[in-house]
Amino acid sequence: MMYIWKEWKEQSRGKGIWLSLIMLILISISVLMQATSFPSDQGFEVFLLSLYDVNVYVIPLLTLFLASFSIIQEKEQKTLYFLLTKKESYRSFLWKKSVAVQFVTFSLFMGWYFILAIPMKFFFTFHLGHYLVFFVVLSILIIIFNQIGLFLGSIVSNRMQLIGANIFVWFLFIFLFDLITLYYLPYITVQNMKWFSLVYFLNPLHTLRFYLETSTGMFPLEHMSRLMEKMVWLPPAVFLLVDVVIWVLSTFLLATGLHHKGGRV
Amino acid sequence: MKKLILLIGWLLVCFFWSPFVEADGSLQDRIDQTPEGGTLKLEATTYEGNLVIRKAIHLKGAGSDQTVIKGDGIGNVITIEAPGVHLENMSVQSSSFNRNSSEEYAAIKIRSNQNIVEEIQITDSYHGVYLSQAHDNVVRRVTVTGRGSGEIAGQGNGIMVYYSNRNQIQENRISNTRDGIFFDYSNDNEVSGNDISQTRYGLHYMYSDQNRLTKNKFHSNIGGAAIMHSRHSVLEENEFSLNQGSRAFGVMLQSCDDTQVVRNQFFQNGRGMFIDQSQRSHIEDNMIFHNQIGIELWVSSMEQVFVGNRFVRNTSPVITIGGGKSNNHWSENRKGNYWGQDFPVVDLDQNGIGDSPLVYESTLNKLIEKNELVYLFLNSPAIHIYETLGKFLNQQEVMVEDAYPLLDNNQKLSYSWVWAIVALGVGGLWYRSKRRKRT
Repeated sequence: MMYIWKEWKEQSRGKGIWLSLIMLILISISVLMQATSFPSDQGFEVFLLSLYDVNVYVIPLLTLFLASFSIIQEKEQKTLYFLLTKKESYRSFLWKKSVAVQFVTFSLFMGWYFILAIPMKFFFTFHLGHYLVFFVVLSILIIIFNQIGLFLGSIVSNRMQLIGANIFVWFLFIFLFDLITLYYLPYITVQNMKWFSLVYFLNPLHTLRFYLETSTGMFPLEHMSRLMEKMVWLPPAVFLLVDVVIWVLSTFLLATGLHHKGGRV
Repeated sequence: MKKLILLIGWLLVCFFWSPFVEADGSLQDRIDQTPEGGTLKLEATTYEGNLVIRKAIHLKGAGSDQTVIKGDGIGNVITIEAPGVHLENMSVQSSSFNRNSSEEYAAIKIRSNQNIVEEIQITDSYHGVYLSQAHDNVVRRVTVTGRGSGEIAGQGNGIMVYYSNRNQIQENRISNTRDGIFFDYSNDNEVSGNDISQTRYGLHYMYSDQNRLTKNKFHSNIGGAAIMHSRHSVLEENEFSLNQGSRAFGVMLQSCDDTQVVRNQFFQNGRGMFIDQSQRSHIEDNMIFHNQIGIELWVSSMEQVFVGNRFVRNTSPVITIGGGKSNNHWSENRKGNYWGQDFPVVDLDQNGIGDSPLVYESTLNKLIEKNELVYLFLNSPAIHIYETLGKFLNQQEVMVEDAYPLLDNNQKLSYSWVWAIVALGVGGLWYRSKRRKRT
């Protein structure tokens, strides 16, 4: 609890989290305005998907920076040094710090999306189930990239390195991963499809979108081609669960193992 | 003796079992006793089928949620054999799903002409309404809900039109069936105001000519309308939206000649239109927006004319596939298409037509040709970088050459951004002044 309170105090005094929130609000309003002109009865689902597509650029970047800078600040202000001298292991510190960062960013950002549900109800035919799916998807997006940010903050030793690492990871997930996959796409056949599927769904941005599309009925899983049936060999929710476990757990464990190599405390 | 018993048993089975089981006495008798041209009003109750109507009568239920005709699951629930029957206000359910029979079963099977079937709710049936060599019928405001799961062959179609001409299919709602409306060797039919969702193909034409499709909504299907081996079809003012998936499309024209596609909306589809081996289609004044691919055109298609269409915010407006040069036209009578803000066009003389031809190039055609999974990446931000890299590496091919691209000079600017920024700015200033006062 102390960590959460401390995190809230630090984040709320800084400008970063407020600027991030303003960006999310502006983006949401802009997408909302555009979506109101959509002709279809399914405008609500289209709005959710459009909002997700725009957030894919922004939320990973914001959460990476907020979470990683929260750790580097502990290093720069030497507070990490004091915390670790008190019979606290780095694992225990990282666990409490993760909970605090996740809690603060999650409650602030998702608080906005909770408020956004009110105008959604006025502009569209509101489907609570689909909205909850969207809520879960954004929550997982925030959790995964927060945790990657905490990992980056743990392994680097200064701000310059951290900025570079954050931008690289963001670029990797948003562009590089797909770019490489696209060049390999002509070599994908039914025989090696399972491997391709594993690689494709390892990217949480793909899995989250696919889960959102399938759960809101935008992408039907019936009548799929043979290739697509091979591709979707697990239910989308299971792919999502695997992603959460892999990314959150692996980055946490790696951060506890590698923090000494990069971080000088 | 054993053989004799077996023979008698077999004869008894043959006697009692028949795919054309009729209703238990009462309703079938009442139908048979109703005079030609007479009306039989049904109570708000459940009647047991199956029924066969052999004379022109008006069978009127108390409402689709009150009068239920329930089949025995081994035949058609209602079979109309005579012309001039009027069936309305009831719910029909439980036809046979047997696929080993020579006959395909339906909730309502029409084998005659000039019948009217309206305000009917159909569930738990293989096909909903089946028009078999039936002409000049009206099927209106019928709701067909299929099972929506299981193998594709195990599901029937919402409305099946087989060797049937000049029928009117109006304002029906169909969902969760194999195809919404299936036309096989059926000409001159009118399909209007229908709402079809969650099927494989919302509408499926095979070898059917001169059919007219107006003001229908096809959404959340694998394909909106699959028109195959048909001629002179007209698609006007329909809405094809949210047809998503790696093979999804709003409209597919395959081996079709002289199709008119006019003033339709294509929104949020995998492909807005998919055109293959088709000749002389006229595609005019359609709104094609927010699709992954606006139009996927295979070069086996010749002499298509695209004019006055509005392409807005598609990942790619047009992809031409198949290699070589196609003989399709992107303008007619000095009028081309609108290409949206993604393609800047200069119009110095302000005549609404671009001063130079619009040429759109892409590398996506090669990817799409090789693997359908590329559709999983079309929403990815990386696709724009892939295209830019293709441009630098000189790998792009010409997809469209519009000699007279149109400009929308009356397009309104969106001020939503400005308003949002102003509102937030004012909010921020207010908060800051409040904080200062506190300190």
